[in-house]
Amino acid sequence: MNTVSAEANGHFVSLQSVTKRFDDLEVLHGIDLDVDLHQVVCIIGASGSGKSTLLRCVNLLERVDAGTIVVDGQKITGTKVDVNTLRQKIGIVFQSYNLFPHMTVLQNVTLAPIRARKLSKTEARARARELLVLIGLEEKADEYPDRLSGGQQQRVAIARALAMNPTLMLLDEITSALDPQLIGEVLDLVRSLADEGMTMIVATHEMGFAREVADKVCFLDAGVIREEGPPAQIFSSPREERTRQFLERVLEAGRM
Amino acid sequence: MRRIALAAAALAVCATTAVAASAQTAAPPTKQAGKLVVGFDLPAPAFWNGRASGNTIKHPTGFEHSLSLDIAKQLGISAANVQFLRAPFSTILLGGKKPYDFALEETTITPARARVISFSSSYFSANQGVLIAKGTPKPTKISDLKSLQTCAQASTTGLDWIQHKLRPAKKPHVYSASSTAAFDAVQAGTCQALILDVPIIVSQAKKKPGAYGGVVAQINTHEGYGAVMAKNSPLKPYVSKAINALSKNATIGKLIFRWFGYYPYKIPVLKSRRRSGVGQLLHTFFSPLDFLRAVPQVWSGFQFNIKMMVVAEALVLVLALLVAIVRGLPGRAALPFRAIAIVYTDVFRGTPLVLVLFMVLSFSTLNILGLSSGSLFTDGVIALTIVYTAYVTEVYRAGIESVHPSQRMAARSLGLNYAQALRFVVLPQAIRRVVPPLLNDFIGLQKDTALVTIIGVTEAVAQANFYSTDYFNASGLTVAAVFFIILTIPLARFTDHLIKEREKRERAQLV
Repeated sequence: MNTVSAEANGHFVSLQSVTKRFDDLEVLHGIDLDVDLHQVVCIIGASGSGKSTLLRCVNLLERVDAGTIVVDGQKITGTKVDVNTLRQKIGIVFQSYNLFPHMTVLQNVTLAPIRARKLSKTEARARARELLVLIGLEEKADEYPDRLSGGQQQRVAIARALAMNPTLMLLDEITSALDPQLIGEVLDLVRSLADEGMTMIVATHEMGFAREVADKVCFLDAGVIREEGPPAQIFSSPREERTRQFLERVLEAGRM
Repeated sequence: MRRIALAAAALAVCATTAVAASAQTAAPPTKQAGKLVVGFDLPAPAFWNGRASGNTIKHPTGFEHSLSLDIAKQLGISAANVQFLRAPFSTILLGGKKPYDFALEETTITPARARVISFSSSYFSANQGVLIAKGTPKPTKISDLKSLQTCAQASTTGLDWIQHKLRPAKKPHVYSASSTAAFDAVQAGTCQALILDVPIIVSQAKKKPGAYGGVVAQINTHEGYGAVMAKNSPLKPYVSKAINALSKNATIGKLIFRWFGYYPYKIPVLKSRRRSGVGQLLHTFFSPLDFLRAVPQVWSGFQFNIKMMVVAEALVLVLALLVAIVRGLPGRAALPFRAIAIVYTDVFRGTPLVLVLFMVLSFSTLNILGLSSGSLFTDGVIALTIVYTAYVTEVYRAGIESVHPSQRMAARSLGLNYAQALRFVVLPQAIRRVVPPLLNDFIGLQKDTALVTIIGVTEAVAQANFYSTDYFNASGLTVAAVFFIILTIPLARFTDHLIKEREKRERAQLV
């Protein structure tokens, strides 16, 4: 933590020249990205531009082929990294929720704290109930996921990630699978997390949300960050032609 | 092929006509032309009376003596040219050449004996007589005997017949040593019907007129006495022909009356209820009496099946899960283990259980590497476990692979390690999904416990088979079938229920 912190140049998360390829397909070409503590960084871009892969690399669900990633002063792209410990500090929420269908909401939220963080059941349950209150689903504690709406399931998935007390949250298009009327409840929750100062990297198609919540917006295009800057600048006066084209298409689709 | 068969048939016809022709014209092929040597043995009261003298008999009389003279007459040999040669009974059933032309020694014709020696046609039916006590209703068919208190002398055809064919409601009284005790029981009325050879019963009834209810019936055993000759003796057709002629012209009947005091045709033959083809079928497989009687015997074996099933299933559940997990281990380091698991499942899914049973048995009996299970039961369980673990491994594996990778990924992303993700997230879902196919495999296992019979475990099928051969009735097999069905039906229904439940749940999720 001490020797390598210089590599991050004081940033909480720092990606340098990160490259990832699947067989012949290079998905990320030398990504540089810095995220400061308590910052919310939104990554926008078309489907297939590499947003999900980028997030998964930060969580080590994917191994990078080249480049370095430093999180909280620790170089995580080295060989001697305990992925299990690292992942406990980095929460990730997926587009398809991925709740465990054979467990109740409460069991979903307490599984990792009990098994990975070795909390006592009582502690884990108490913390889980606090989180369920936070997401407004305390009465659903003993329901199974298939009894919940998509929005409710996604809020439970967020609570499940928060239960590990992560210092960084990665949100991977968490509203893309939801009906429009359910999107709001999930975004409200993310907004409140941002207000509390959670450091987050958010891949999203919700431009309005990005504009409102993000400290920084990155436009990812074909595995490269074409443009990054404060949301006002990106959305109002993009410098890059590709960014402008993308935003126009999003505008046509009515998502802004 | 067909032409050859026809030619053979034509040849056979020629041969028989030639024999028939020569019987009328040429002298019969006795050992010494114009003479006849007849074998006998003593004692055989009423069959052979007289005094043994060296190899022959002085002042011979008796049923078989008279019969031999009558046969000689049929063959065109005068009584003066008939000699009698003592041939102990123990020797006449042996193969090889015979010092006599034929022997008359109350020898029952059986297929096994006929493989070694030749028999003439039967000259005396070895029927069983029924002697009833006074006041006992006269039986008119075999089933009338079923409700009576029967008795018999120990180790006789009569006792065999009661136990295996009649199978009465009450156990027969059995008197050992002599028939006197049995006759006394009939006289006292403690035995209502005695089953014993007809001549013995008739002579006893004559000795004590008025003591019994009478010799009221005979039971056709379909067995009879035949003249014994060397295997393939050329004399056989002549002797048979002579006996048939004597039987037809009532000579034999008269001889029986003369020496045993009755005419066989005058004692009514008890018939069993004639069964139609379907009736026969139903009786063979679904006789209620046999069913009830076979149940305890087959059950004693079925307990082994249940034990084998329970032990093997418990082992299979655990071992198959282990093998399936090993097969799914990631990384290069686990490669040898994966390879072992793959070879194991491939080999034992492809090897017939019967073969594995024999292999385990050989392994165990040859004491290879000092490993011997010490019991056939254990060998059976081991073989079942080896084979079914291979099957069930595949079932588990299919279940594990059916859990979407995103589930494992979600678990890992929360900081759970490989084993934790497997144990708490993947396996619970996988196992829930494979319960129906797993139970199906267990139904198969339950049935396959029957195969263990071939290495000598006396389980249900073995017992059922014993019953069938002991009582000439296959209802024991039906009992075994019913046991297996009763065992599997609940499991099958439960499996159906689980499948239906899951369908319901999945439909609910779609809505």
